[in-house]
Amino acid sequence: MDLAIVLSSGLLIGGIYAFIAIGLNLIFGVIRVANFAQGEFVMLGMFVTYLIQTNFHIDPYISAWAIVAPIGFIFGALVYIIVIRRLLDDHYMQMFATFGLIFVFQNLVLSLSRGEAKQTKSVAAGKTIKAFGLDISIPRLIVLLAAMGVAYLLMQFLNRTIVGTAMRAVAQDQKTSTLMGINTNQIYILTFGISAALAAMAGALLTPSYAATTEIGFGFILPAFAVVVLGGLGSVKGSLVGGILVGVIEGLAGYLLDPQLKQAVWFTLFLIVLVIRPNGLFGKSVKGGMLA
Amino acid sequence: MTLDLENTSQKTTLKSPLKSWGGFVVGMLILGIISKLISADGYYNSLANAGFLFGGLATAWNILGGYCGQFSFGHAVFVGIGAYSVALTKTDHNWGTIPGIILGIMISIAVAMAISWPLFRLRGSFFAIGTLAFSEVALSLAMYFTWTHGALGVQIPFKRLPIVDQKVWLIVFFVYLVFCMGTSLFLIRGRIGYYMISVRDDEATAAASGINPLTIKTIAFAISAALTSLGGSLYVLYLGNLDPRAFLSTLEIGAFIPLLALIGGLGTVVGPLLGALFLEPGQTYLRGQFAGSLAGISQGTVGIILILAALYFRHGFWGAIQGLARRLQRISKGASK
Repeated sequence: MDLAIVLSSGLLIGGIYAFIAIGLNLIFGVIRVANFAQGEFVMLGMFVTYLIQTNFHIDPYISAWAIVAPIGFIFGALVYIIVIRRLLDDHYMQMFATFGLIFVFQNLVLSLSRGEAKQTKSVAAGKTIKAFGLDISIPRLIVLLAAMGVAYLLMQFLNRTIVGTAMRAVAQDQKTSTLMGINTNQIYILTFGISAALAAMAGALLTPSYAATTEIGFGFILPAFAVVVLGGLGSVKGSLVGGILVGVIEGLAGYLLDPQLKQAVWFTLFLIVLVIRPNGLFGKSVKGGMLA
Repeated sequence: MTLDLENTSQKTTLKSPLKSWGGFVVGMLILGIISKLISADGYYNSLANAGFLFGGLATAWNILGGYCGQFSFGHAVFVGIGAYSVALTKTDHNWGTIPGIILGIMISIAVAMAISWPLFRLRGSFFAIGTLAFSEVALSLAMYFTWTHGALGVQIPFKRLPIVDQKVWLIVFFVYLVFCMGTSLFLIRGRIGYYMISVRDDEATAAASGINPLTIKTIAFAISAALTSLGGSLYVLYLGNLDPRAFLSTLEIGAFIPLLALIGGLGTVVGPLLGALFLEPGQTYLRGQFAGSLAGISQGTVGIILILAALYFRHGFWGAIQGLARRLQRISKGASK
């Protein structure tokens, strides 16, 4: 019975990781940028959701997709145009710049929020649902279902639409796709925008169950990278499966060893996978099919 | 993937006056005299202490990151190993200072060599992500075990601290800085420095020319880790208090040290020091000025500087100075004709 509780809560945490990792993986797969500031988009999304609720009394589950995600898209596109676009030729400077973004966003929010944690209210907050004799937190269940829905929609978008096909083409071979008449610049702006929108939306959906703090985003970035590595670079399906896997491993490690060691366990696992299978457990070779 | 730092190319390496031992000694003497003069004021003394310590740490990082092109965001681990070795042996086992420092250096070298094999299989961003993960593992382990005093950290009793006088600390940190920069200069002037730069600029060609990239990277990592560990030991003896979240902080140590090297000039001998002397006191100044009104402004400014440096200033201060010197040289040549 205990094990079932551990597994179900691991699954729900995994939904959060998967949601955040999908956007990170999209940027990594298409633009080849390791965006260390992705967690900060989540954090900003949380604070924006809080502001929307205190000023306009809109439930986070509505503002998440109706307001926060579009704002995230515009914000992400601007970050790409102003900063990342100029650094496409230099991986080292990309890392420095995204770390710079972390410092800027965290401290901007710190000075505006004066370091107070903010939490939104929602009808679903704190409620649980009984299933198979288990108490399942509704806010977390919503995040897991939303992550699955987003992954499904994104896969449809990448596989069925002409823009999605263009994104996959750019991910496979940027030079050749430019020769084929694809505007890579626009594709990159779109990719970064979508990723930031997903991160901000994830943040908004987290607010009923997590208090927004300035440091919460950076706490998510390493699990998200672990998911990307486990699931395979550029694979949407891999991100979803990898996220749930990391969540369950974290839960099991906490249960079998010690809750304080859960991070050490999956970081170690992450390092092992990174070394043995750099393309991820489900990823194809990096040069071949990049997206699921 | 190449860093394209012209200031470390073979031509300028030997011409530049600060890449020679004579220039090094003169420069260090001037720096020592200036710091001696300003240290009359306690505030400037503490600024100089932090500047020299972080100058040394950034120089140590630069051996792996700048010369060898391997960007580690995990050097907080070695700061931590150095700090824990001294603090724990001192408080729990009654060791002297020097044995503790040596123990830290030996553990750091061993750890660096042990993780070299897995980590150096990763390239570019993946190496950076791997070091970041490594740093987080170290933090969670340090917080978990009881023999590391867990989340409480270690408080070294005041009477067990070997040095308490700020003025003496200035000398210690200055000697540490000179030692780090001397090592850095020695490496870059020698055969191994050229090996490191060739591995950074083109690993495949370096391997084809008979250099073993893994060996070179491992050597660079071990030296860098040893010097970083020494700095960590000094830092904890200076503060007297080891908070694991501060010493093993990914942002405030792990990402901050590379930033100093970037601002000053990656892959140069003088650059990391210039970055530290500019940013350490600058940050302290901002924190002091805006402490009451705007929280986070000093770190926020650090972030803006970091982005601007990545966008417009990739060769750092030292690169800018060298560019200016070259231009002046060209003008004077034109005038003499």
